Amino acid sequence: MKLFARQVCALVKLSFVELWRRNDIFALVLLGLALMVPLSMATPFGAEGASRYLDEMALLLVWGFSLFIALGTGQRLFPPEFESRTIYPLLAKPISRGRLLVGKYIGAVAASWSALAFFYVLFVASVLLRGGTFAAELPQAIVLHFAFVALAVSVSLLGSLLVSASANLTLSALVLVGMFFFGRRLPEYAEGLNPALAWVVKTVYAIAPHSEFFDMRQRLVHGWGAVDGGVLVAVLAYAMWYVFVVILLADVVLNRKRV
Amino acid sequence: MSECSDIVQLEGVTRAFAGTKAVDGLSLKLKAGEVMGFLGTNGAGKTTTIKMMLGLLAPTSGTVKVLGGDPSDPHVRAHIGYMPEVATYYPYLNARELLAFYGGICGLDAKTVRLRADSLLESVGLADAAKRPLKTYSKGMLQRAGIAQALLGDPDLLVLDEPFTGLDPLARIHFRELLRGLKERGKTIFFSSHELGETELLCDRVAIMKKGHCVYQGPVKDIAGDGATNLERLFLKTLEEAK
Amino acid sequence: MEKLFANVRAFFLLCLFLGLSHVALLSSMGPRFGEAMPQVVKGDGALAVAFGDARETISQAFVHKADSYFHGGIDMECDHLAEHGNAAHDDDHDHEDCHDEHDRGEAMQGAFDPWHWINSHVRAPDVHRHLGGGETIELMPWFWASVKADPHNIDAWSTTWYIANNMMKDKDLALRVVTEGLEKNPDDPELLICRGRTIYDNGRGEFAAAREAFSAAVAAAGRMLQRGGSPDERILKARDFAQAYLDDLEKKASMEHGSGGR
Repeated sequence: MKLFARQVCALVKLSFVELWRRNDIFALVLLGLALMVPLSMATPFGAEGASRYLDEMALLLVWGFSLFIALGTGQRLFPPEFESRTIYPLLAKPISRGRLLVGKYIGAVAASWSALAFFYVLFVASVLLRGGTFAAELPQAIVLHFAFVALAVSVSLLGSLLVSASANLTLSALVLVGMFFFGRRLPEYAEGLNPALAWVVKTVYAIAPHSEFFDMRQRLVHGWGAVDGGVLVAVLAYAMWYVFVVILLADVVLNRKRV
Repeated sequence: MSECSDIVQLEGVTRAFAGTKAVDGLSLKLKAGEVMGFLGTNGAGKTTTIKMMLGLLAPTSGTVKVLGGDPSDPHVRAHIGYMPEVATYYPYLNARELLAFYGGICGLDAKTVRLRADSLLESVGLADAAKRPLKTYSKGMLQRAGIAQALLGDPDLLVLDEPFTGLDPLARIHFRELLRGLKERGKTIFFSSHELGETELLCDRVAIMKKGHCVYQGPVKDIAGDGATNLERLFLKTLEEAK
Repeated sequence: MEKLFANVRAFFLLCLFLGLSHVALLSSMGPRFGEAMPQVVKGDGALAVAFGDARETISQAFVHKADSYFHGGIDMECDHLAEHGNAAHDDDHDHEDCHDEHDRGEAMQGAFDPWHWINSHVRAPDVHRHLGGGETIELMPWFWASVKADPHNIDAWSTTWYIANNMMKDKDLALRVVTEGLEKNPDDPELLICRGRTIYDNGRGEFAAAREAFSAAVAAAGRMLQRGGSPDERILKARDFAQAYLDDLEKKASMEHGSGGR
């Protein structure tokens, strides 16, 4: 257990160093500032006092950036190791492929979470600077967002072991963003289709990652109040179960992969 | 460490890829404290053999035992140090961080890693560049960083794949001395190489591979006489005869 | 650190380059391609030009967003605000024909659907509500974006006016909105009616100015109807509506005249 803890620590540190030294986060923050600063100074028709659109835009950016970071981090866990041949000395060390996979996944999630926490700190600071206050549901929204990031990293990690980097990033983004916007509508779409297509759509609805479960932006922006505790637990359980299944599949793929 | 005196024991090992045998019926033994050179042309099956010795590949048939156990067992690998042919190590880390990372993977505590990293970086000549990101390293420097990571866990068996590639003459001499020092400390070393001169200077025994078959195994002293050309002659002759 | 600064510098240079190229492209497009591509330069303003043919869709999307804000962040699948914005429409609205996240899917799924259960709890509030009072200002940015995207979206202009005039009761803001709308669409009868109604309603007794706006609306509607083709229902409605206001004003004026003469 001690050995595994040390291995995980090393892998977490590696992911952190790589993510924060790549400067991606700083480029994203600059992009966010370039968008948000002019927006926050706008006074539509000379009327002042609107703030929800700023919160919504800021949260949309936080979501977009976190997805970018999560997919990128998940994607970079194994393919670069194969390309640079560092997978050999790594697997020659006293670590099994399964442990390596889990350790790397934990590292990637921890690094992505650190970036997400950084984005939320900036979001909170921007709200405070505008003299705003926070709804009680903010902690819930953050918890669900963290769970989403964990899920996105796992999807990207599995994809990285199956297809090329560009294909993985495109497919993962397509699935997660597609489900984010249209996931809850899939049963409606299935209604108007022929039985075979309807079955496909319903299957996608059943097994694709429901990223929309984790989105509390509207609840936060419009102050709907906190989600019921049971629902929160259900969403977190869904995320954990999904991550578990995806990582299990990734383990099977990695163990079958020839090095 | 295993009580068995054969550190590496390969018996009738065959590894096939899509019907093609990369290694065919290889039997090889390496005793404790021995230095063995593993020679062969490109595609002879050297790297596949090394991968099987490290547990990265399972043999199609035959048995591979390292330090008395199965190399796919992480506990066995804890006693093996491996340096790949040319690896581009994590570009965002510096050499010290690289060793800290591999130390963590080996399960070493931070203090031990720090102490070993200092002495290893010194011995491979990277002490001055220890804080520079690896992406600024030359090929030879990366090779030296690779040697340092292989030695980090204080392994009983050192497996090196083309260790002299990319090293300048001074670094070669330095590295040769390093390996001699390890040998004197009783470490078992197995390395593949195209550098026949270095092999002859370092090894107790050599094995020559051709198209997956081991065509020669024997002590270097049997062929040594008037310098590096002997091994070269043997190598060429063996390959010629194996046709 | 040096590397970071180099990256930041490169990023800013790239932004500057892209920004300048965009401005140069837009400014060169107007005069040169105005005749050949009237649909591109029809909308004035950088956003409208940048969005090109998609501007109408984008503008409507912003209106839809504003509508969801009006309903406290819920997509109602129907635009009530746009209905209000119609200068000739003043009814209170209901939601009989609309669906929100709670009831969507319930009618469709016989068996228990856990995914729908989660969605209906996470993505929908417990109660249906509308923005009111000071909160109404939250709608303004989306309408602003909508008319910036398509300055000829009369629905968006008139709905913005409706919010300022009727919901926020801010006559100055309503006048600013409609004045800006008329700058982009000088002869639009609906916007002229909006202008007239604000002046008429603001209680400052500027009946002459209101009459002028309604008369202009009637005249503009008449001109549009004379252009041929099948008469536009909205224009007809606007003309009748403006005429009704004019009649009302005439009645008021004659009453004042009568009471003054007595």
